Amino acid sequence: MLGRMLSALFVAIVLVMPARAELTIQISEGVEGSLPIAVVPFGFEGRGAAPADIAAIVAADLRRSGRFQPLPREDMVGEPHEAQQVNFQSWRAVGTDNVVVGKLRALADGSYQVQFQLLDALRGKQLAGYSIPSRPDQLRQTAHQISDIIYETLTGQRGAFDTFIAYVVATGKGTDKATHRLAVADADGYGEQTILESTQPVMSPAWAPDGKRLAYVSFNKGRPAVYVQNVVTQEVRVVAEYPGLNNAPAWSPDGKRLALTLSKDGNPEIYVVDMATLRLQRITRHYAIDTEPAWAADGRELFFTSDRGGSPQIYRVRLDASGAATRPQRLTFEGRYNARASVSPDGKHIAVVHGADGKYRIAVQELNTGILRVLTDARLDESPSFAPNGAMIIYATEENGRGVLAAVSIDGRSHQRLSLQSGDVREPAWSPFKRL
Amino acid sequence: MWNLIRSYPRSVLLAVLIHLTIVVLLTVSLRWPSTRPTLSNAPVDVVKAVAVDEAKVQAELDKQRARERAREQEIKRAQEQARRAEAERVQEQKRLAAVKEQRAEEQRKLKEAERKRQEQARVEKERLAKIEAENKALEQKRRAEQERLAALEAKRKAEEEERRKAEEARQRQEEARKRREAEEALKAQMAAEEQQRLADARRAQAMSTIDKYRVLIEAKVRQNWLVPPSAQQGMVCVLSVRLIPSGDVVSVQILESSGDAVFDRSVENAVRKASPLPLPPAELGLYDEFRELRFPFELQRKG
Repeated sequence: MLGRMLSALFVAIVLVMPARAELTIQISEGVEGSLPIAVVPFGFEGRGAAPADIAAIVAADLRRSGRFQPLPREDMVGEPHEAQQVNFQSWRAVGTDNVVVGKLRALADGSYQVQFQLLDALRGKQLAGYSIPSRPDQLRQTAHQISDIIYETLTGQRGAFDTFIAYVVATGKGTDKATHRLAVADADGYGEQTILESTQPVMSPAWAPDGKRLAYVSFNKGRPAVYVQNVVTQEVRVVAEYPGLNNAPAWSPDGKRLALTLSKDGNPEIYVVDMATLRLQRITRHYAIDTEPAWAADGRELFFTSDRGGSPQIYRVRLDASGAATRPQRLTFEGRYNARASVSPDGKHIAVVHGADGKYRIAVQELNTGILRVLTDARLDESPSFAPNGAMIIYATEENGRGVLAAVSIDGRSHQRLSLQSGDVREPAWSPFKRL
Repeated sequence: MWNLIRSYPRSVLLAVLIHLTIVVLLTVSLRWPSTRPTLSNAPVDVVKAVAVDEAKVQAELDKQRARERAREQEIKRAQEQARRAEAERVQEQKRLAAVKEQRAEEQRKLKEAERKRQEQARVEKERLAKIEAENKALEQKRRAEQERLAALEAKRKAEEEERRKAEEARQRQEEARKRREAEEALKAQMAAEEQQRLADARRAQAMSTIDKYRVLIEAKVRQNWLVPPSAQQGMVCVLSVRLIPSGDVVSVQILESSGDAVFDRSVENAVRKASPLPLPPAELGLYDEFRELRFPFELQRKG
């Protein structure tokens, strides 16, 4: 009996042993915090002062994305410019997961070589390292490219820093010198270039998928018309100047068609214009207002705003091979106002202006589930536009009575103002990725 | 009388002869004094005759002679009678003797038969006695055998009894031993159970401590896990993590990759950044439980 008990005990011990060999700790959720990163000021090898603070541009990019938490320079523990100089222990000690070091080297021909290394402080190894040739006027862009590399390396998503935003700016409102500009800037708001300047309103810029053309509405002839302009060549083309409204152009994903709003038949309706032939195809037919079309990612559906249900809501039609539309289906039901749909690059979400409780805020609705998430909390947010990587939404909001641009991360946790521009800034449109 | 005769045949014969002689003598004498009156028969008269005178004696003698002759005749008749009687008596005696002889013979035969009978009886008796004796001997022998057997049986029984008693005693002892062993086993079991209970309690204590620190570790790792935006719900990455007693992570090994480098790095970073992990106080001796940890990271909810 004792023997049996002993053997049972032995068996029990044997059975228990493997269990104690490795304690298992299940982790089923984490935090959606931002990654601590140190972007150490780049070294400069050249005469005089460095032409650009690459590290600062990169750090700002990363911070703006909401996914990174760059270490303030005053907290840095040294200023290494290459991996060999990095004391990982000390960077870990200040809570940094990753360290970016690099240097800017001026070359004899006036160009630069920008070298950087992304280092893993926890493991003490390099995750990425590049040497990028640049020119004085390209240094910001080079910095954004570095940001993209870092972002993609560390988040697994393509960065959207080396992209552009288009927007309209009104200045001198209510004065004789009121001007309206269509401008394009880097995604961080720097490097603004004016595409069009007019005394008449300019509205609704929309990027073609090639990232080179912009469609917009201009009143420069006294009444609205839809134009397409190549931002590189400045070449302009009229796409629609029908009686009544010519409004809200939206590029199809293949760039061959433009959806827009026309009221040539008496009531604002959605049409699709073939960019090659400029032939129109009517999509909606309803006495209510149908406007603000947006293409689904696959180019087979159109979202639009309609007040056919009594208040503006988002509807969707499916287009068949001939381009004919199915009966519109209402998608939004939460709140008394949902308008201005922008479709996420993966086609899974739409961003809308969501009106409720007297406030207009940016919200994201998941198309599968219909779940609507409000991302912003201002009084008058409008014109959401997805970044090409879908991680952020740029939109216009009001600050001290004027329109400014703001960006919010798709999870709603990071909010950034792009308040570089003067004037009343409206209707931002985030460009596609640059074609490499 | 017959028995006497039979018993003393010689004496009887003698008596008979004497009588005969007397008779003869008397007869003879009577013949001589033939004158003598016949005396009828009493000798007493004879004796009285001695004292009588001559004349008278003659007369008397004559008378006597007459009487004598009468008497002689009488005697002669008597004698004759006696002789006949004697003859008859002899005859009778002869007959008697013959009878007696016959009787004797018969007696003898009887005796002989009796003797034979007796002899036979004796023999029979002896035979019987012998048989009896034999029987007795046999009986005795049998009895002795029986006794021997009985003794044997008794002995056997005694031995058996002895054995039985011994067996019983052995069984009692065995039972007592078994009982003792059972009691000891029970005691041992109870002791073992008690020990098991204590061990369980200690283990429960240890487990509760382990669980507590497991929760603490889980919390610290979770707080340090920056879920990458690219992470998809359901992604799994399993790490094996080695700790030193201070709780510092000395190695992280990916046992099972999610297939997504960023996700894998994020979970690895979570553990590295959570280092040192909270461990139970060293005096609890639970470090071994935490020497190697397995971290299955599975994104169940994406914010």
